Amino acid sequence: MTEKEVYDYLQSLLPQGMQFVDPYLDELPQPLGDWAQMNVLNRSNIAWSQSRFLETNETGGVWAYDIERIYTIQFDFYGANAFDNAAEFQQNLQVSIINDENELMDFKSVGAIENRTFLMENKKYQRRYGFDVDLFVIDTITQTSPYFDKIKYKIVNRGNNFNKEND
Amino acid sequence: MVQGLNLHQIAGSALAFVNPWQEMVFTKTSTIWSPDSRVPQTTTEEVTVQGKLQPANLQTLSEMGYTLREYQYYRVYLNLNATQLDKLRQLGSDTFVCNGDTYRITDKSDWQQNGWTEAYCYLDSVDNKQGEDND
Repeated sequence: MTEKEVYDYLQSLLPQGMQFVDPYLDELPQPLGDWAQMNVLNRSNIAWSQSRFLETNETGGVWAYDIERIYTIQFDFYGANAFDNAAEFQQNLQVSIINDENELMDFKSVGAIENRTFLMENKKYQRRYGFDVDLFVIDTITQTSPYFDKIKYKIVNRGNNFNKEND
Repeated sequence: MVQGLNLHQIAGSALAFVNPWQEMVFTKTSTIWSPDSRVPQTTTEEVTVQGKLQPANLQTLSEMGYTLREYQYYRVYLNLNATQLDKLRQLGSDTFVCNGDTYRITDKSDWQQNGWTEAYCYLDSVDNKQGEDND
């Protein structure tokens, strides 16, 4: 899953109307009011499946295998209602992911809502509350199958020419 | 507004054969956020003014408390009439492009009524394409 797919999917599960902001945007002022941010902290591989053929034909084939990964996503909520938003969105995320049948992700664990308020350069407080979420994601990797396009063979005549062959 | 004699402009034009006026394009980017997108819509406004750019005196810079190792500093003189001055003030811009290179203003003297101002800036980013053309 690409970073954008992760964010799009998670945002689609959450209440609409919240201004989410991509992480690490340079030289852009932050939105006014309440806003939120998702950020992939790390992605770890935990298990590989057996490879399997998806299709075969005379020119080869395609095989695939699945990798189970854990994505750790940091959620941050900014603004005057940061704490309330963090609490609301955390609960919504838990419920939505578990209820989602076409799931791209499975819920593993969610961290505590932390107070991440900091002092900005202008010596004003920036209210920020957030939590981390661990999600299972199955990423499928496909590859074209290797195949023989040329086989060189030699027929060894074991008949009357047997001795001649060894000359 | 009191309009005085713009002595700096006269002197600047007289010395143009040593240090010619250059076009400086000030830009300001405004952003509009919408919950539909995680990236804001941006619009850019431009104002082109005449100015002079020269390397800043290192001793002056160190006296002013600049960290000389971090950036390459310049002193910029802007030649503006009252209208341009007002527009630039409204724009609130602190970056400009001169000969393809981007400079960022750090300190500026007060806007004066004669339409002349002076500021310190540093070289923010260099136009790589221009360098390739020169080779």
